[in-house]
Amino acid sequence: MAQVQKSPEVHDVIIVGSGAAGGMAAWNLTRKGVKVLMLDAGEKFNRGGFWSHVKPWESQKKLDAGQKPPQFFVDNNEQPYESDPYFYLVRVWGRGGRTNVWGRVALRYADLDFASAEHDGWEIDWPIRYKDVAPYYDRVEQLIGVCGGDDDQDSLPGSKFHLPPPAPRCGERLMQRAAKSVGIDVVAQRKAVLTKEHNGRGPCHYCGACGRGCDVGAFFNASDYLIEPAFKTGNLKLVDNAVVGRVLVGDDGLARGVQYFDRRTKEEHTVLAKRVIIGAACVDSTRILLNSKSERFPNGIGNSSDVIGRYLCEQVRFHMYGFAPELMGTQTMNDDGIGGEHIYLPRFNHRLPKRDYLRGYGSQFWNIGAQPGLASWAKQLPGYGAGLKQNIKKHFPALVAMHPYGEVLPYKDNRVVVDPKKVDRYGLPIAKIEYKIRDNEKKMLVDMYDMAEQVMRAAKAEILPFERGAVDVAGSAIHEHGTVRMGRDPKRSALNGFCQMHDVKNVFVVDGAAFTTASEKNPTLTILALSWRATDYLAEQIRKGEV
Amino acid sequence: MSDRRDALKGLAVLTVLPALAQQPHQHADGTPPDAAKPVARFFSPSELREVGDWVELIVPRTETPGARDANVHYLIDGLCHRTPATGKAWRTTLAWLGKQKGGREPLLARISTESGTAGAMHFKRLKDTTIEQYYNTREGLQTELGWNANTYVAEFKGCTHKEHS
Repeated sequence: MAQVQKSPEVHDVIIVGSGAAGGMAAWNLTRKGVKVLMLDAGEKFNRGGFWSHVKPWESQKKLDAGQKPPQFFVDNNEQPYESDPYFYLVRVWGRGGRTNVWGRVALRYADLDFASAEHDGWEIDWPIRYKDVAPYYDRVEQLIGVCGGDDDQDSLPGSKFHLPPPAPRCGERLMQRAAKSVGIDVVAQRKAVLTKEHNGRGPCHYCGACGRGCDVGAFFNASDYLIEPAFKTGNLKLVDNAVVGRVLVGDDGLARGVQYFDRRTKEEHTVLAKRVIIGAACVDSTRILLNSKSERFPNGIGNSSDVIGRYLCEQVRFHMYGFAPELMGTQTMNDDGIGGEHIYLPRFNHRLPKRDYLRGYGSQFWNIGAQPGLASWAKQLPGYGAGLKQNIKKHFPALVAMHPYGEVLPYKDNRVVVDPKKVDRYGLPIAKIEYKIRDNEKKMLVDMYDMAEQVMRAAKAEILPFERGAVDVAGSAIHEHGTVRMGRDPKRSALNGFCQMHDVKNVFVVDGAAFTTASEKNPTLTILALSWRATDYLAEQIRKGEV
Repeated sequence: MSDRRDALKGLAVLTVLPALAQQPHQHADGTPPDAAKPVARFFSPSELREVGDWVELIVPRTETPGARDANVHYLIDGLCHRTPATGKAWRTTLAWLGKQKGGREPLLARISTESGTAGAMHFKRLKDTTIEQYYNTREGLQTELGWNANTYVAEFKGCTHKEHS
């Protein structure tokens, strides 16, 4: 049997994960003088090797020549998970995590989100309100740079720190105008993209290929924006390829360290710390906690409430495409912009007189205008030959799209579990996801489809065929939340409002798992704000000697 | 399978577009076509010719390059080479198309309007793959559609048309 490598050093804090959550925790603690050991399941990605500027016709040639783009995503064969029904789980193990390739949408939650349960009585309330988080949103936006407008709504709080928003594309202007004509506001999108120089970082050059990673780091990623500055403090140590298995518990019921495995050699290691912060992204964080069983915590560390793993929630979404007649046959523009949409439709349904479901939805608009990847719609045009070719060219500049996102309620039996009979390459139980949408989401989808079609029709769009009620595959929003939720009542929640475990005071969970509800919004800005707030609290507790 | 009618049609195209037929096509940015001659790794020379004929019917050369100019037949050869199931499916399609009588154009006209038939299935394969490949080539995306993005831009101006406000 291989010997476990034990390090005698006791660190101030161990942070598991290097994405938005872990990166922010490391940045904030190290600048306050706290000594941090970060465990990252991958390695730093080589920004110079990103395929940001590889044209579509060059990709296959490069692949044929044996070149590869960065392998951002975890191969499910390497680290399997199960789901029933199917849940699409996207994981990035490596410095910066999913922020290397994220959608960059940076929306503030409103009290409509934080106080949703107070309004409708569904499940528990967040223990915090907008006023608690607002100062942290301000700080995060100033630190990372978020572009956006001053056209805030009651469902979308504003900011005085937004960088200038990018100009809308032609199709976006038409959709904005169409929505307005039916009484729906469409505002400037808020995105963590630098539209001008910010904190010494150069701005976006509008190549539109953000999904392949930014070769100049012009959108926020935790590696460049948080972890590199943390290194400069001299207070951060980082172990690459450290796949964390368990949080270790001492006789006093507190965490005493972490067990991890070297991803390349599978060698087992133990590292010790006075406090542990988990930020490995919702599902992996949950797997680690549920696998951290002990005599004191037979159900997983900090899980006396039996809520860890439960209440997995994200968003339902679908995609509706059409063509704006005003743009058909016009000259092709360079519609790349900052990648993705420049406009956003904030939640408005709470202002309507009657609904037969709880919570709400917003809509994104990516893929508008002349975009590569047109085959998906071009194949649907009739015929062949010169006529088809001409028709495709006519439609090419005119694509408009809507992608509504609706909140999925937290349900007790939408959950992540670990199955001791099925283990990974390190011998640890893998995650199994049990997740399905219910009547509330199905009713909301009816409204979402009505709204999208109404806006499309107001734009006089030639709508591509769609199946009303169809929903994108579960997990495709890549916004998993809720499995280690915060709340006021330790019997119904795992964390307090500072992301600190009720049961184990020296363990904090700072990623999306800590969210009490999913809302309809993208979570990363809130993850950053909550992680900053949690680590301000932790640093103060350390200073007082209370944890 | 090529027949006399198709050959005459091909000649007609060459008559209408003599300039294009005599000189290599130009890309929108003025650069010449890729110099490296592609090599087939799956299809036999006659199969490759067949595939080239069919894809050219789906996306023909007009005032801009067609599917054959864009080497779509070689790209399909690459797909078949990398994925044996795709290769098998394409050979099935070629065999089915080769057995039909009456010339390619009437056949395409017929199967393009069918649904639920073998012809519809083979037409879908031919059309979908041709479109997927052609509009990812420089000829399809840049020269034909005018896409010239994924590049460095100092300022993104967005929509500048008053009528869209």
